[in-house]
Amino acid sequence: MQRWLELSLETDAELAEAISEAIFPFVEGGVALEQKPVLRPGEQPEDRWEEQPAVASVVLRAYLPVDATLEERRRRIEEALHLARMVRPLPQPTYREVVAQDWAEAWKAHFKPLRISERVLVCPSWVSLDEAGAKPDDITIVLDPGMAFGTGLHPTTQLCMQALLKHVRPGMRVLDVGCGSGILAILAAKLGAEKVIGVDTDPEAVQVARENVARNGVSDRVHIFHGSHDVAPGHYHLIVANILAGVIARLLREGLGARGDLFVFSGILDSQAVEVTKAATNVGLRCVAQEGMGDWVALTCERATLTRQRSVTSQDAS
Amino acid sequence: MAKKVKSVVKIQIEAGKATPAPPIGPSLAPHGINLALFCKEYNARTANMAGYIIPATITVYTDNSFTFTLGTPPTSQLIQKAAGIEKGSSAPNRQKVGKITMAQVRQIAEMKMKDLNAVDLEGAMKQVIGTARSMGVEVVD
Repeated sequence: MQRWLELSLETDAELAEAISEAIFPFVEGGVALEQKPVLRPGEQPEDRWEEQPAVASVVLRAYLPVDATLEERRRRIEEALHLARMVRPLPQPTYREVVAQDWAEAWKAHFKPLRISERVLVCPSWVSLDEAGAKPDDITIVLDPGMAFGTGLHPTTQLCMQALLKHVRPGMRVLDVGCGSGILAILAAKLGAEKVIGVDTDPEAVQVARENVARNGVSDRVHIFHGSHDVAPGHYHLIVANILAGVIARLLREGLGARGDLFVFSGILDSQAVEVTKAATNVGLRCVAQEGMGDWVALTCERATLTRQRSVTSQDAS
Repeated sequence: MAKKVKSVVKIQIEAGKATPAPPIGPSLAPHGINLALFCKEYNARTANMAGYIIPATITVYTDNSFTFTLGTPPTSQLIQKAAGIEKGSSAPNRQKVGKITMAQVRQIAEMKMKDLNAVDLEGAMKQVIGTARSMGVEVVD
């Protein structure tokens, strides 16, 4: 089994770049620089990156094969670090041995079958439905997420899936704006939607979504296109957009609000819900529900005229 | 697509040569991204830059999806290629190993502008000249 000596060193961003360049000829493959954000007390890295903060430090990692060249490589690296120390103080690097493993497959351990509700199970394509514990009457979505967003793990995806479970009825036409892996479009089809269009501005996502649509046997009802909502003309009973607050507000200003009867918006941080609600109200929509999970919310909106019609009908009925 | 960033890792490797071996495997696998897919994408996007080190900055989101952007080769490598030398001088103040012209300095500065901490092209050119001197490469008109 191939063994490697891992060198790691934490320093500031500028020096890390210089050291990386200096030791490059003596390491195998290249150098990795992991950026650490500036954190306030009690904050986790994921709390800060949202705002793109300054980089506090960089952890440089490089690898030397454990073979006859090791000592010479290590000597040359120590020389380069010695020269760098003449310019600025530098901590001692730490070394540890790592054994080659199947790094290419390691990511799959992070993506496990996930039950979204009593009825819906999201299953990675490399796990069998039996292994995932699927029941005979489950709605199953088999996914290979690729680089695209939407594995079902993210709170916003789960919030949107819950909203679709509540609102999708057989025969509906559904538009999924920013479809990512296609997870929401596939769920809408499996809940009985007659026609589902998914659009994404990321060509990689379009390809991944098309593969997932085929994998789930809904190619006859779900079609994925590259672009924004304007590439999918027509009127929809339900439009779902799990993107970002600012993008949703812009899409509403650009006319998305006139394209459907019912809307599910997510990708919205709790603190941004007011902004999206305002943008929706400005184009004649009314927010009828807000669900939250962690820091995120999903808003369900409908055309105000639809709300009025419903209220008139219910008054008539009474 | 609501995205919240989990980590940011920059890797410096040779164009077209990404594999799941070190440094990519051990430094990126713990972040939970699909390495085979990253390598395929990186190699495809850098196919026409063979021989250069092309850094990639990978942003990993909390659901393990990721995106990456490509940078430009290190200034020293661009100087080496421009001067037609294999490596810089071990005693740059005494032993000069090559020459580049101001036009080449400008060309390198223009290419590196977005990655350099310089307010204008003149500032970027000064940085390139500084790197050339530290390598024992003379700048001539």
